[in-house]
Amino acid sequence: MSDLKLQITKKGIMQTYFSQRPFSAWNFDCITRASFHGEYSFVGLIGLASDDNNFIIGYLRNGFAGIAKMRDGVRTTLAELVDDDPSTDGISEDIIYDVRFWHRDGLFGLEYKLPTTVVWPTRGSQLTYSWKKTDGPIVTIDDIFHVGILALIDPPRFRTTGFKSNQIHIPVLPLDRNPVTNKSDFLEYFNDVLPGQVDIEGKIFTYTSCNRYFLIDDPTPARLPCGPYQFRIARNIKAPYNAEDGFHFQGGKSIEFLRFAWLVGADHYLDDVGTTIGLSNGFSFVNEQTQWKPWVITTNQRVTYLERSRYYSETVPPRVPDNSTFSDRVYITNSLEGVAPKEENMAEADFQEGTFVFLDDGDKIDFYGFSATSGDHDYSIRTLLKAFAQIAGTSASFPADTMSDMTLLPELEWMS
Amino acid sequence: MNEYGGIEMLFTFIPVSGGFIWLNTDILATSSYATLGITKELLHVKVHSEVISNIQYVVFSTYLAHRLVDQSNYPIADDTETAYEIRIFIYDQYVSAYCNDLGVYWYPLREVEYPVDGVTATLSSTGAIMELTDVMRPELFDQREAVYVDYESNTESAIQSIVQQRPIEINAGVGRTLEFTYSAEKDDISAVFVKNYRLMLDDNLQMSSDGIVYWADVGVSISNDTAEEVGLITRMYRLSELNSGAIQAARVYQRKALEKRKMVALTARLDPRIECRDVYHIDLVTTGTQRYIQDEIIVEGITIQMEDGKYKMSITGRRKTQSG
Repeated sequence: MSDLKLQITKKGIMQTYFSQRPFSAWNFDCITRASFHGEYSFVGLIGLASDDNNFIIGYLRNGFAGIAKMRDGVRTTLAELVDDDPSTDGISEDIIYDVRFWHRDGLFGLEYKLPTTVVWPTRGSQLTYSWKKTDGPIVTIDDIFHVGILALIDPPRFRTTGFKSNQIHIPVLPLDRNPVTNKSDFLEYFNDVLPGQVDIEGKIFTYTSCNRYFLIDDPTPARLPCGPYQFRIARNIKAPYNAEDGFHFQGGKSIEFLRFAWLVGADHYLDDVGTTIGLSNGFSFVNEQTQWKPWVITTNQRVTYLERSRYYSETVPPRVPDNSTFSDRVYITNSLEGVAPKEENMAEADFQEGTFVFLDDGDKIDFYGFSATSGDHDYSIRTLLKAFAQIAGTSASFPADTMSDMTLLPELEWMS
Repeated sequence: MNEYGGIEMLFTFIPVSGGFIWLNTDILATSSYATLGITKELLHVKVHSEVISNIQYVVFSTYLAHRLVDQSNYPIADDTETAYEIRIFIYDQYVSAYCNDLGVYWYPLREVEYPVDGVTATLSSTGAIMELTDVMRPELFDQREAVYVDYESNTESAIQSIVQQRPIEINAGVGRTLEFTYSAEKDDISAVFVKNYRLMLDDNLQMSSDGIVYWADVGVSISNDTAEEVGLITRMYRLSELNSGAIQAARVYQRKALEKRKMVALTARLDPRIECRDVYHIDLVTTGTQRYIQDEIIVEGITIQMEDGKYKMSITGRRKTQSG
């Protein structure tokens, strides 16, 4: 029925496209034919845009149609209607819609319909919003009013401490909270028992569960994910270095980093068990025991480190760098578990500390067409000459225009 | 067939319940989301009124052949008798419609073909007898998106920036008006007391039978009259400023060039009725040679001389072609 013109799969960042014609339109009509997939996908039409962070948007998303203003990249919903009734073909994913967003001197309106329905709903019958003084200036630049389309796939996300694609954990960067809800998307939306998949810079990974050791809004345990700590060394600990006042830690693979807590090993060796230790270089593992007073023998003398802890795990990745660099940072945090690339033979990739990890549901937005008009008169030579003549204090006449009055009798045999 | 073209139609009517007005064209088009290359169908635009919750809406519909492809309404007034001043402007790929100076409807077409010889349009009605007033089809309907005029510009240069390279004649009219036209002729005036008649035959460089038109696109304009009268001449018309109406402009260039090939100059008794663009009919017998002269010219220039109580009027004009 329609050719796909544009497909958006990028998450987390608004994708805006402005029209060249009309370049600027105060009153406007925009129409698109589009579909979306995913609970968090917005397909929208833009008007009164000064730039790609300041505009008014009419949008559809799963179960909703709305009008919102965007100011400095922050979206504020102005009006939204719920249309999620499946019996009346509510707004649903994977259905192609014709969407019309318009503006006439402060009044915005949005209509949508299925492409098979030729007749548009009555203008203003579905959703309108009249601009209010309390909404602030209607535009941020008073002579640039772009129109266009917007695609936003805005799924729950967190930032990782760093992730290598060959690792099986994706650690969560501490204090990563959604600025709108002030809650952790990881705890709110990532299901800890059901498998799912995530999108990291366009690469898809599956996971089997979540390690939700730190429940940020739960006072038990009353601790938070923590870090960064400076990485110091990764090494294989053998007796007697794993001993402390007669208590023996498990020994073996471990890393040490600058976290100081002068705790008695026998009482506190399981304090951080089960937490994910994430390194900024992308390696990670789940902690098994913690030696809070690590020590070594240097020049035949026992030296206790007074600034660090030693974290043991049989799953410390073999390729964690040794003490060749002190620039890596270590976090004690939550993570996704059982992570694997969805695509076989995916090239190994490193994702930097702070990279967004998006919940993925194959989200996408498809555009099949877009058109826009200024809502004002389209000018012909005649109308322009008439206007200029008036400005010049004269009037224009067009002697070759054919004019008449007529009575039209119905041609009953032809369409009624 | 041309991909670019247009038609503008204006009319006023008072809606009648159940009555529809149709603008029927011979423009061929496909709908917005149609697959490229499918068969194009004749474009029609329908306008009527509907009342919803005591609000009067004007409704525009786009049809391709007999198939409705788009329809939308727009609130105009409360439910009282209201005259609708309609403007339907079809240009290139777009259909736009206005009612009472409001932009109320538009529809983009996917592919369009305009007849080479201009669009033939008719108005018809269904459902009821409809009275239309002020029906107008403008001559200068070429669409312009924007015109940039410097603050320092005078009116003449501002007008020129609108007209661009189109051969539009601009004449002063009665009541401080300016008249703009490609080809409008004024009154038919019979020549009287002609003292001198001179016919000049001069081939000019603007003439062509086969015009290659170079503009935003490239097209061809054929002048059969030139081919018959002068022979086959190919010429390129560089109308690079134009985004629309170039073929029509080239056609006007060709016709006027052919007409200017035969220029007539005559001297006659002062006749204050004559204006530029009048059609001056010469049908007389000269007093000296008794030669019978019959000609028809479109007046281009008038000079009146008064000296020592004598006066005379010199008229120049291009011979009107039969098809002109």
